[in-house]
Amino acid sequence: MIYIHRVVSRRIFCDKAKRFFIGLYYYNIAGGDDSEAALCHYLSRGLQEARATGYDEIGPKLGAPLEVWKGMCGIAGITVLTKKSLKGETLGSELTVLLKSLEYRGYDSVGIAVISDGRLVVRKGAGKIDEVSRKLGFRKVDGLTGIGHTRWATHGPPNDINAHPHTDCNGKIAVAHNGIIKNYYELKKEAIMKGHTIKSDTDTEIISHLLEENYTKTNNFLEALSTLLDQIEGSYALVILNVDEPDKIYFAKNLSPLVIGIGNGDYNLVASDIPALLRYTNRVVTLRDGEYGYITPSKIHILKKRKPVNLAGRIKTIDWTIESISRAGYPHFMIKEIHEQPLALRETYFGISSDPLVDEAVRILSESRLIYITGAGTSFHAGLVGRYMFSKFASRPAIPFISSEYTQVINEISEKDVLIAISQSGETIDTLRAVRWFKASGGKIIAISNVIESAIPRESDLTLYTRAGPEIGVAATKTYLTQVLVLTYLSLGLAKYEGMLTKTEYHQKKNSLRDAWRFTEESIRQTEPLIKSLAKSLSTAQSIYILGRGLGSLLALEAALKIKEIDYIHAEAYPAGESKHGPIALVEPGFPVLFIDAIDGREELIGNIKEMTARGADAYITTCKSEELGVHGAQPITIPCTNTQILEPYVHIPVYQLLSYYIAVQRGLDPDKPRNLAKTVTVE
Amino acid sequence: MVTSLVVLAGGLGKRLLPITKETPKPLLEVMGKKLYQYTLDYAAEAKLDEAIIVSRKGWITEREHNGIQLRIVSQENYGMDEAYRAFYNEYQNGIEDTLIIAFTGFIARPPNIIEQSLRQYTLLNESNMILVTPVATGTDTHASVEFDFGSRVKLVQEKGKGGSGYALAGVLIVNREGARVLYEDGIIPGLNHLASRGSLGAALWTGEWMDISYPWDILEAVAMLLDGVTETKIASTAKIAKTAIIDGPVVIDNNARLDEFAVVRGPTYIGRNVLVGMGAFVRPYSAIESSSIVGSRSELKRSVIMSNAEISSGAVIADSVVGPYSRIGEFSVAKSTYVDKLPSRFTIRIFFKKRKPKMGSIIGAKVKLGPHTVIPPGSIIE
Repeated sequence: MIYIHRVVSRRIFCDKAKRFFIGLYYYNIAGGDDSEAALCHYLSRGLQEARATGYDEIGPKLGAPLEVWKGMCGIAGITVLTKKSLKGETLGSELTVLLKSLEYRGYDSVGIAVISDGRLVVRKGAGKIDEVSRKLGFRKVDGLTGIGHTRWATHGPPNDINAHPHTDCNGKIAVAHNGIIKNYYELKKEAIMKGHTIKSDTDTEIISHLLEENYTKTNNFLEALSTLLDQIEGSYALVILNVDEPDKIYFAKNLSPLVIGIGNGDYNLVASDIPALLRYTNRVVTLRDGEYGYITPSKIHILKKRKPVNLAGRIKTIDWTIESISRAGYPHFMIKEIHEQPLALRETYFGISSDPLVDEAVRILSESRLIYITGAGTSFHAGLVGRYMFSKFASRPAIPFISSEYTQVINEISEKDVLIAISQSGETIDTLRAVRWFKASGGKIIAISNVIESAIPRESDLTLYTRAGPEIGVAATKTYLTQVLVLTYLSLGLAKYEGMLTKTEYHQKKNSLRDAWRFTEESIRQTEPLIKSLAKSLSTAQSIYILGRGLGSLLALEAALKIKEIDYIHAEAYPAGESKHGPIALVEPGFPVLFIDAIDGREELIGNIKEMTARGADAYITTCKSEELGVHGAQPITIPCTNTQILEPYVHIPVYQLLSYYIAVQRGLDPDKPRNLAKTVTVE
Repeated sequence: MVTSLVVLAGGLGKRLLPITKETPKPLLEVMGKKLYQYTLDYAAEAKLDEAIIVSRKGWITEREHNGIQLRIVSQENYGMDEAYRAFYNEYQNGIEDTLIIAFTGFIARPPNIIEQSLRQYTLLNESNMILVTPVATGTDTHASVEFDFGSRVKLVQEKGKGGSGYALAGVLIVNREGARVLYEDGIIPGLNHLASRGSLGAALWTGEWMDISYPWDILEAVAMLLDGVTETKIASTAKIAKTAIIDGPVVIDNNARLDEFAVVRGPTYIGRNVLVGMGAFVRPYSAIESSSIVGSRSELKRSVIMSNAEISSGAVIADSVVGPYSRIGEFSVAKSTYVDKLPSRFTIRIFFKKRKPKMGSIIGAKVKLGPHTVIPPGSIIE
């Protein structure tokens, strides 16, 4: 029997048709058999199951063009003439600083390679840059030429062997890579036949071996690199060290980003993006696809198809600052991340639906006495939607509590209880405390987090990961919807396990969840122009009510939080039926009231709209039944029809995220850095 | 970064007729500034110091604007593609690494639209880029863009389906190769060509933006610009009578004169050399462009009086645009009311106000109307 004991972070390329496959992570099999054959066997079974449920349609397809997060890894290199050119004490500390500025691209495995006294020194490991650099003494590594790599693992915890840079058999060539080599599998087989020893399971290591071979043949490294680029297919940004040429960093670029920074004659740099270079220089050359070459401290040599490239006119002088990192195409991170949600949802569904830990989680939940759900801020709101789904599909009550308020439930916990702890960063101190205390009471913990191997996952019995990618904007956007998706998936699993859903119903619901991303995309397209105008008229409001019924009242909480934290406008969410027991007293002519029609209680909602408009409120409603509901006095904001509560969060929430964003722009506020707030709250 | 900027300013503004009968669109004055100067100001914000401006012969005479040196290229025929070709024929060898192509006739707030585009361009890692913005109305009048949320353009359509969507926001940045493609294929087909190759990125403009296509748009554009006016600014050369009343944010330009008992409610703009006569009443969201006269005891309600026009004594103008060099006779009335069929830009207002906005009339350029003329709402007088 195959027992899966942990998820590992590797991509696998072993489909029979020799096409590559990425995105589906695979499993390390207990008993030590993690040979490729065993893994491929397992994967092919996984694939069959995947096809049976139809999800390879939505995930990255076999052999299809890759859709990867822009900025999945960061690479950098620096070469100096003398130590005087260094800003830090050693080359190692210099590289650490460079990698720190690339940290937003990924931060769970890191490594450097430096040519020191004619030897190649490689130090690498899993963990955050600060930790690894301290543990492995990056600062003590010295030399004049070095490269580094930092990585964001979306699939399973990273390990030391798979961390970059990778070396060849003789330890003379080191390679750091951002991207995916498509024909990796064939090349690897060939290399093994030729007698190379391949240590890792990455697609990168093969590059160092190919280079080794080409270099032995010609004794010209540039020629070896040219030949390599003919051999490999896929996306790559490469930085390469060769011990025989201690003052050169070789590079190559195709599809993945790479930029050269031009020093003042005694140093040059190369990195994944411009902001990383700005500490050293503001003169850069952005490389184009197919270009490769090398830098020395005093020279830059770029080739394309073996012919030198003329750099005239390509040197840009940058006059902006580091803060604008990676907002490519967008003025703020928040709007970028709102627009990224369809992709984040797709990745998350894809990941969660192939995660064997879900079955384990379902079993734990089913065997538990009581289910508790906790989180702080947006995560708590996602938890409330989770509670709704547990009740709706699995008929299992779940008790939600705000993580800092755990003392309220402190006396009721038994060993048979289970806590679902939700935290984007996995480091939120309030939630961490709730987890520790719950564990001390003997309960089991299921964590939901976006950051692999962070504190809360480490202390939990089991973790389900959202795959939203790095979220930089302080206001949570894409993490909310991906958390809701994971919770909903879990509730469906539980419902099936407990026999509350038939197999057909289960698959039907699961399939609609699979399509959640389409609804988000459509909702954004449909409403953004209107919301931009609406934001203008709401930007002067002092106070806003957001009302809904059933699921709508839960979504309203998140909508109100966004408007509060980003726009500094008092926004209050209320169940619509409850609004007449108090809050309505504040309503006067012109008071904005937003309604959320999330299918639940639509009839009654009409009554609530009338109550508000009768008092002169400026009412708006996000609904797909705009013709039906528009006649009752609220202006309809039409969103796509989902016809099922499961999908309602994915059409309503983007509208309110956009609204809060555009109000902030109207009011001249920075939506990425709301005052008094931090992305990860690590103080109580 | 080595960058060239070309501003295409050779359009006649046919859709703006009869307002543009005498003055072509790029030279129309809105809040004291010609439309092509808006584009140049956005370029100045991006610290560009040189621009090539393509226009019809004799239209643009200034050689420097707001610190930007202007080089002028004449185009023989009208049209955007024509203008671009004229530029390309003359300057193709001089195109630096990056070429910014900016249109005229759009306005944006805040004014850093070109700066923002350049910034996005350096970050985007694409050879060519267009700026897009969500618009609630009006994709029927300018190009609409379909792009995926990974910032890559899929399709650019010359005329959208109408209503809401993402519009091309008047700024393109291309490299030398992209510049050539636009020359060979024409601008819109060229963009689609680049998009089909997968080398056209999109950057999102989330600030305010509008394109002035139809006469009614002038009212909306002025409203948008006036929303950005937060305090009263009176030029030192303006003459304000002691009994005149200025209420709320009002901009009064050089040599403007407010006579005794004139009342101006903000937000409002009073242009250069404008005379607001004795006892005249100018209500919010109005703009009076340079050298115009608003006669004594006349009243303006949410209206735009273009340059060199005259509103004679006792006339009442509501929700209307009066074209350049027109004269409205004494005690004439341009009434406004709720009309059935609204121009598209106004439909969005119904959404927020929940009732139809009032509409006045469009009085073209060089129109002379006698005393006591009653202009029914919705009329367009040529």
